Amino acid sequence: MLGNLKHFISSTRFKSTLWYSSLFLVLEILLGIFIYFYLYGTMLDNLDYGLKTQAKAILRLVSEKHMDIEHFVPDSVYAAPEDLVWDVIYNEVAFNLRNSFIQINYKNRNIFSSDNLNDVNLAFPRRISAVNLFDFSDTTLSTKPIRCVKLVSGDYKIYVAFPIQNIDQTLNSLVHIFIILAPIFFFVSIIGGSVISAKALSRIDAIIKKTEEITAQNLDEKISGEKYSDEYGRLVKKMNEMISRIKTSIDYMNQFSISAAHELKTPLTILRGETEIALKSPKTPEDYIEVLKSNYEETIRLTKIIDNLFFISKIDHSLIDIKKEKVVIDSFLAGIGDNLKILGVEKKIKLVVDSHTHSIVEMDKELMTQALSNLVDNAIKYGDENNVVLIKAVNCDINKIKISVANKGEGIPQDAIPKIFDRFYRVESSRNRKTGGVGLGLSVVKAIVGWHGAEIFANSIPNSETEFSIILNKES
Amino acid sequence: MRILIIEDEKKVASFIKKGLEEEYFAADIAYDGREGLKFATSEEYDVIIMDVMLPYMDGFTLVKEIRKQNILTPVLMLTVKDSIKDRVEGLDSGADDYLTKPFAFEELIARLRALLRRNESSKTSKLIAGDLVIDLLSHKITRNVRDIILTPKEYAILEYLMRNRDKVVSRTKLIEHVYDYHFDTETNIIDVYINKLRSKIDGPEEKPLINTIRGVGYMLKDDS
Repeated sequence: MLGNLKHFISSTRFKSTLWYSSLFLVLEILLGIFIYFYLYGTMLDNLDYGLKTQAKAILRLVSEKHMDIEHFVPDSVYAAPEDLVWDVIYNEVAFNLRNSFIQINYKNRNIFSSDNLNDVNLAFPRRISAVNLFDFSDTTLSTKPIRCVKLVSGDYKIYVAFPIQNIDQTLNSLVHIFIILAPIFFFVSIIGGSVISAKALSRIDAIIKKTEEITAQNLDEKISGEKYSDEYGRLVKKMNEMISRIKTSIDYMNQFSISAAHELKTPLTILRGETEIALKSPKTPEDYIEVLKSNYEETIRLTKIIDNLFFISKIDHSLIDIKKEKVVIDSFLAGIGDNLKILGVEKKIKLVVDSHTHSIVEMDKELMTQALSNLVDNAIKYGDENNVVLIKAVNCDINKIKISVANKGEGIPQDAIPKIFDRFYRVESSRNRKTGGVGLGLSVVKAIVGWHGAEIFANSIPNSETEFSIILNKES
Repeated sequence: MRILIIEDEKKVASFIKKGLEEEYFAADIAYDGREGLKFATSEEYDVIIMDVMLPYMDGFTLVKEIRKQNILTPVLMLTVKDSIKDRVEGLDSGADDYLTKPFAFEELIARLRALLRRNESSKTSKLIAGDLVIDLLSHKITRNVRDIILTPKEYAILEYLMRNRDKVVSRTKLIEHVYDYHFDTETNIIDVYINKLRSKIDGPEEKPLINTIRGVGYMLKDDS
């Protein structure tokens, strides 16, 4: 259960949903802040406009009236200057901004304060610049925050104020709405996001499930969903391509190790079997010598197989340094002919070198000697007795030279020719090992030739002639 | 007992043959699938030992071919291929047993004995007729507590007669099962061996075990 939760928390589905929802929440908060300040500004502007309008109207009324405040004499109608002023501004105050606080100063003397001010003085000492006739101030009136405007004109100073409680209330409700909505939005977006990403990622789950099932044993199975042309489809296609490449290598490796094991097991079988039989009961010294001789041959065969396997694995891992040098072909081949002559003695096969090319080839002498030795060795092994193996070089054109090794003999069946360079491949009839091969010689040759950027071909006319030719680039 | 070895690796075939001969078996060798099929269908063998990877015809095909011709000789497959898939394929194609190379020769012999026992009623490593006992493992022969020393050929003839006790065995059959392919069946060598055998196994007071069936061959009677 805990594992599942951990698994879920670390899933892309959860993470992307969380990211997406958090982003959504941040955006919502930013929007809220923006709306808050914008609304606050707008409402304040509206309020200020109303205050200004009222202040102007009051100023207009009091200045039009030309009231003689300084020489005011109380009479039966007006007991105080306040009454006179109230009469003048009555209409304006009564029908416009109700609940507004009004104070009028004349020559710094308070000549009118609205009743709701309760003797509080609205006058604030801030100086007014020449440009701006109005000055605004936020202040408090018996714990009530108010917005106040001062209009100065001649001897008059008009103060009009209004509680900003309304603005605060509106904005507070807005904040409340956002505070309530934010978690709801967050929650909804998480659910929505989960559902959407679950849908999008369900195919990933299918891919994961399938890849979990694939092992070295069932590499021929495919992940489904290749038909879609979106990212998933492409991913699946590439994964399938990768699987089939892995399969090819694994098949090749399996085949190689089976073949290698087979090649190694045969001499081991002989060693073990012959020794066991020899030890089973007393034998004549001649019998023991025969067993020892045979065992010696088999240990040599084992060494040869292992050497070849090492060589091939070195080639596979590019661990061989090629040391190219300029080689004079005619003398090089003559040298090989001299050195390998001895191989033909037993079967009375004569090794003939025919090379008058006057060509120089850049190559690794040691590796090429090994390649040609393998070819000559094969030619003698599979050649008819009392015959000739011919090593021949001819110039094909200005920059190519052909070196061939040919013998007379049974030849290679046509259908086997494409396979003879494969590792451990041996033509059926040659498998009884009177020839003692291990099936690696030609693959070694092919590897060496390939490393020189050269090509090798085999031609065989059954029961007549077989020829292996190497086409090399030469120094022109 | 006559064994056919079908194996392309000459040295392997030759040490198996040598080892079998030391165990009083007669053995023929075929070096490829085609030759093996020819031998298996034209001669009579008690067991066939064959390699799987053979030139011209692989072991699986060869066994199927042999079984198709209704030859039920037990087949022991010998191969370097040791995967379960290969074992299953070998046994399914009609082989009776499967041994992977390199193998211990003792195991090969033990498996051969097991295959030979399959056709018999008694599943022991001893053959008994009356008071005559052959221990197939040690090759010791006793009659009434008396040890009998036999040459390999005499032993092989006696073993074959014991395995087919109470049945008439022809001279040709004996030669086929005791000698390898290169033996001339027209000689009277069997009669010579039978006489020698009789003198060795029948003590003065004992009942003769090997009876001559005139014009046909011999029969070892188990009266017990």
